Amino acid sequence: MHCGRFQDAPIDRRAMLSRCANGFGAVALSALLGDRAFGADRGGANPASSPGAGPMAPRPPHFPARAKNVIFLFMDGGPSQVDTFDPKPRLDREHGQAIQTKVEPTQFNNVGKVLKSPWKFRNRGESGIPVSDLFPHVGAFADDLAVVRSMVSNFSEHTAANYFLHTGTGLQGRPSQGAWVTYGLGSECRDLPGFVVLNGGLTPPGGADCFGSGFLPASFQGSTFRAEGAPVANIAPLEKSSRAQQRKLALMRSLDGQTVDRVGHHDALDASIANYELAFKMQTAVPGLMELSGESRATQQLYGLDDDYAPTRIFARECLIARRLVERGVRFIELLCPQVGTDRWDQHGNLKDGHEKNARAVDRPIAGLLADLKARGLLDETLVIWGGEFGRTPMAQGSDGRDHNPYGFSIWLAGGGIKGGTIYGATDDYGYHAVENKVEIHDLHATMLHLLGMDHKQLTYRFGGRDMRLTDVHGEVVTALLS
Amino acid sequence: MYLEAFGRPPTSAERAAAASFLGRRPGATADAGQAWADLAHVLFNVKEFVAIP
Repeated sequence: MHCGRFQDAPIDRRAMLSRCANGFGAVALSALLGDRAFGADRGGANPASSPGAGPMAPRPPHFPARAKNVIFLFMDGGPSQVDTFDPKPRLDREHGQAIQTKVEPTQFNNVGKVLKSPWKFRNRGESGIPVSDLFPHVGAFADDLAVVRSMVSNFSEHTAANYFLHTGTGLQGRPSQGAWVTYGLGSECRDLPGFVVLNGGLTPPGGADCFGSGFLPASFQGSTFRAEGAPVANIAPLEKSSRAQQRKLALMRSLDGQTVDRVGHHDALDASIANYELAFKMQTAVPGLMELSGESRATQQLYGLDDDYAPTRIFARECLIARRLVERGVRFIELLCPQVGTDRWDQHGNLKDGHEKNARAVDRPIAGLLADLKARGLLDETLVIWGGEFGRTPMAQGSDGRDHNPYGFSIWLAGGGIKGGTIYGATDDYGYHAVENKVEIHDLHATMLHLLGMDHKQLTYRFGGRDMRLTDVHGEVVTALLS
Repeated sequence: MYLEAFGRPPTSAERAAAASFLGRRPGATADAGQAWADLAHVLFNVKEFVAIP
């Protein structure tokens, strides 16, 4: 036992020299490795290097960022470009005729005639960007959007295309973009995960692997919250009193500590301990996050929480929660679409009914989100991305549907660092193939990381014998989209 | 319990921690079953049980 006058022995001369010698060496080494250190040593892969900080501690970007957070509005199923953001008069002229160009193999190879869009396009805003009547509310924000009409994907089937869009490869089990972003930057929020997926009802083909951490440390995987009902399973404590819970947690922490003392630090072990701490904090944070009654009536209406259409109310809730997550500093938020009773944005038949319902579910809430982010000064530092895993064919599948089309489709970006009122790239006269300024999924990822202040070539993780990237060996930042 | 959960006896530190957890519980005799259930719940959540390091 220490008595009152006990003091640690001061460091002796030999220990002093040996420690300082190592210190000088380390200073020199870190300078030598300065460039490489960008990619290395991110994300708590080596917690000993920043004891106590945890994998989600905020980390500086490579260069000043234009955006701090991302909201990804995932339009599951593949919205049709020629019915939303890429008008094609030739479809009206040749409606019902055979398409006069080479037809690529499609999912169902039930190739019909040219099918005109059932919706009228209007030029919106000062910039005059054409947006169809599927998106009247979003259309009002045309001057904030950068519409990319020349997206291409490598996959024409949902699951592989979803993996490709989310992870940069068409394979299962690779880290999702949200995992890469939180690995690179950590999160500003201490009591919620850094990568949150709000599930409105439609889990995309490919499932939870669209939001996984793959070979990155487990802490970076997306946490899925349901938009309605209990947001997270088992979020309410079972103990009768918080004191009883605290006692159990205290015992668990002490026994966990003894486990770590015995076996040392392991990534999986540390992540598991951190998960329990985070889960405990979430028991308070999540109910607070999802409680929207404190929002003014005007705000609730802005998002469409009062809408007649139930799916709109669900997506409105998601959009409003997304803003609240941004306010709390959560880094990457992905929104999944609600069920509309027919199908996701995957209208192989009955295009008019299906697209109308899917658009109706998201249009007003997305416009509300853009308006609210703007009003609160958050849009400048939040990157909003809207898009699906591919587009749809300009010719019909059967008589009134459209098949999958990865050869040319539209997405849009808005917010932090994006030049609004922009149309970038073009498809051919049918809206079938991208023919001008093609943008690959890798380019989208590179641009997103760039806006967050990261060089996609330097955000790496050593796996399988080489440095892996979200963009693999591809990707160019699309500078034309940047403000 | 340790044999069931971990296939080994507790260390003396673990034995002491468990004893203190069971003993210090208010109303220990009246609710002994609950106390042991709580201990089991904790053991199942200790990372030595959750993960195999």
